[in-house]
Formats: sequence, C-alpha cells, structure tokens
Amino acid sequence: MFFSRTLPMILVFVMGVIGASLYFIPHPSAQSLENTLSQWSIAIGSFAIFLAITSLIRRYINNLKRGKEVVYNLVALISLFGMALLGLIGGTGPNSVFQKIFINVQVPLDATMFSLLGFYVTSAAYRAFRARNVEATLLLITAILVILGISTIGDSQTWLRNLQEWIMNVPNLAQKRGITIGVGLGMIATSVKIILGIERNWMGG
Amino acid sequence: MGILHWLFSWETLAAFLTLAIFSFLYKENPVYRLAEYLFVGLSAGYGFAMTYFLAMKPNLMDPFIIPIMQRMHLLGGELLPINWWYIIPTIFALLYLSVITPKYSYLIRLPFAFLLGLGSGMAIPRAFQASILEQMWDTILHSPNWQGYADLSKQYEWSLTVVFISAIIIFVSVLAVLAYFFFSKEHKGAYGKFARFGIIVLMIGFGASFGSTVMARYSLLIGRLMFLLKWLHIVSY
Repeated sequence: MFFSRTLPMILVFVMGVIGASLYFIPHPSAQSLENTLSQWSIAIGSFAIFLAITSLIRRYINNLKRGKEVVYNLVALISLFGMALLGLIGGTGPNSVFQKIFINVQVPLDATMFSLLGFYVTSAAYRAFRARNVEATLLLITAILVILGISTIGDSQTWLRNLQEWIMNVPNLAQKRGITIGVGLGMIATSVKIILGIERNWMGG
Repeated sequence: MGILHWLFSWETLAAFLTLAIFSFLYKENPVYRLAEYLFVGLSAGYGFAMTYFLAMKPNLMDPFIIPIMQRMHLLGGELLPINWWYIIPTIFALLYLSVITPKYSYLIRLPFAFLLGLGSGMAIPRAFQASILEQMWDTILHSPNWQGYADLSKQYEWSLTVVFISAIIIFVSVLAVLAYFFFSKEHKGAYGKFARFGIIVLMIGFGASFGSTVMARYSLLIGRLMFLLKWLHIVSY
C-alpha cells in the first residue's frame, strides 16, 4: 500500500512544490537545480519510449503468431527495427542512410497522408456546412473568406487578402486569446489538483 | 542507363509511396496498407533513434550509464566522468520496466509521479505567465501597447484608426469569449447577450481556423502533385 499509493502521492506533492517554488527563487543554485530536474525529467520521460516500442512490437509479433496480416506486420517490424538500427549504428547525420530514408520515404508518406485530409475535410464540409442559424452562417462565411483570401484569388483581389488578414489577426486572435486564458486557468487548476492528490486518475485502478 | 537510374532512384520510391497513399481515394487496397504499415514502422524507428540521440544520450547515457559501462570494461573510448547524481533518474527510468512483472507493476507509478509532480509544479507559474498574464497584457488597451499598434499598422499597411478599432474589438471580444465560458453566472439578460456575442466571436474564429487548416492541407496536396509532375519531368521546378 505504501509503495503503490502513498509513496507516489508524496512524490507528486514534493516534486510539485519544488517545481512551482523554483520559479520564484532567483538564486543561481535554484536555477541550477531547476535545470538539473528538467534534464532528469527529459531522461525519465525519454525512457518511456521503450515501453511504447515494446508494446508496438508485442502487438505485431502477436499478429504474426496468429497468422493475421503477416506481410503487413512483417513490413512494419522490419521497417521499425531497420530504421532504429540504422539510426543507432550508422548515426543520424545529414548524409546518413537514416536521413535519406527519412527524407525520401517517411516525409513523402507523411505529407501525402495529411494531404489526403484535404479531400475528406472538403467532403465533410460540403455535408456538414449548412447555414441553419446565425452562428453556422458566420462560420461558413468566415471559412469561405479565409479560403479565398489565402488562395491565388487573394493576389489579385487585395481587399479580399486584407479582409482575410484582418479576420485572422482580429476576431480569430480574440477567440484564440479567450480560449488560451481558459486553457491556462484549466492547466493551473488541474496541476493544483494533481499536486494535492485530489486528481488520482493517473494512478490507474 | 538514364531510365534505369530514374527507375531505381529515391525519387521513384517516394513517388511510388505517394501514389500508394493516394490510391486510398479509390478504396482501401493492399498497396495502401503496405505503405501505411511501412509509415508506422518507420515513424516508430525514427522516433526511437531520435529520442535516444536527443533526449536519452545527453541526459542519461553520457552523464551516468556510459561512464559506468566504461569502468566495467563493457565500452571503450575516452573515459567519461561519472555524475553520481544521475543514479536517481536512472533508477526512476528503470522502474518503467516493472510493468513487465505484474506483481511489481505498481512501481511504474513512481516515475509517473516524478514526471507528473514536477511537470504540474513547473506548469503552474509558467501557465499563469504565458497563458494568462501575457494574454491579458496584450489585450488591455494601455500606453505600452501603442508602439505595438504602430508596428501592426506598418506591417499590415492598415491605418492607425483601423488598428485602434481592431484593438477595441479584440478587447471586447476576449471579454465576451470569457463570459461565454463563465458558467457560475446564468447566461440571462445583458450578461446573456454579451455571452452570445462571445459565441459569435468563437464561430468566426472557428471558421477562420477551419479555412486556414483546409488551405494548409491543399498546400500539402499541391506539393505532392507538383512532386509527381516533377518526377515525371512534366514540370521542371
């Protein structure tokens, strides 16, 4: 019980109080401790990738054992191990095979995957965008104005480009700012709840 | 020779994979799925290698684990100094592996507690500074912002009057958005109308975000199509 619940709660509280108070102590030793703790958290956090990769590998191996989609799972496993080993052994320098594969295989796959969303977003917008009420009409009109303003039409129609820039920099900024303030308040509230042990969902069951 | 060189080049591989992903527009097919699994595998391998070199090596391996392995004659090279303080993050990091044994899997809560506690503690003053104070400072209509208005006027070629009216609109709109998200007071009467203005600002903002996201996707799509045309030597830029 002590190791499974009490110790993690004490650790969260202690680390939370240290993390929050270091910001207000301008002494060099406090700044140095803050840097060290940040490095430790990066080190500990980065180790979690072992868990993620192990879980992924286990899933692919289980699929292979069951004879489910053998070729695809094999491709995923080989590419995972191949890319990781190329990076770890051959290095990640600009002229390495690792970078060549990244630029010529992973980047095109990534860009194409996201470009596909262009089709689906358009299709979804066609089906969902209906000027049913004032709010939906405003959303529709703003989206159309921004799309036209960013596109090449905006090059010839300067009023459209100016309007698009104004929408992005004034009402859009105000909306984002309001949400950012709300998110900031939410982050502070959640952090306080975690540190004080009110929020315990992170401990699982 | 020219055709063979073209056929077995990195560009041809990239073009084949681009077409494989685009084939999903017709329907899901084996070539698409092959490209999809390749993408997942490569991304995981890339993520692992980059995390090792950018996060794990400088913050855990170099200060502690590599010097220890050198002293145990498991690794060669120039002897690195041991930073014994790093035994603490090493122990926490190794506790992740407790998940392998169900009996001791609860120990994984300790590295989580360290990260969550420190992250939450550090987030409180920073979130207050960046998400609340800075945002409020830029929204309030006060003299320190006047230079900012002049800069905006120059940047977008708007008159100072437009910039100042825009600043007032931003000020009122931010308050309206906050009023909409404030549920401790019932949205009725003048306050309700003000909160409704907040919804209108939100909708305009969502429309703008949607429009720019769509254009970002189209920009990627145009980039991929231009790449294919360049690969086929139809365009030269």
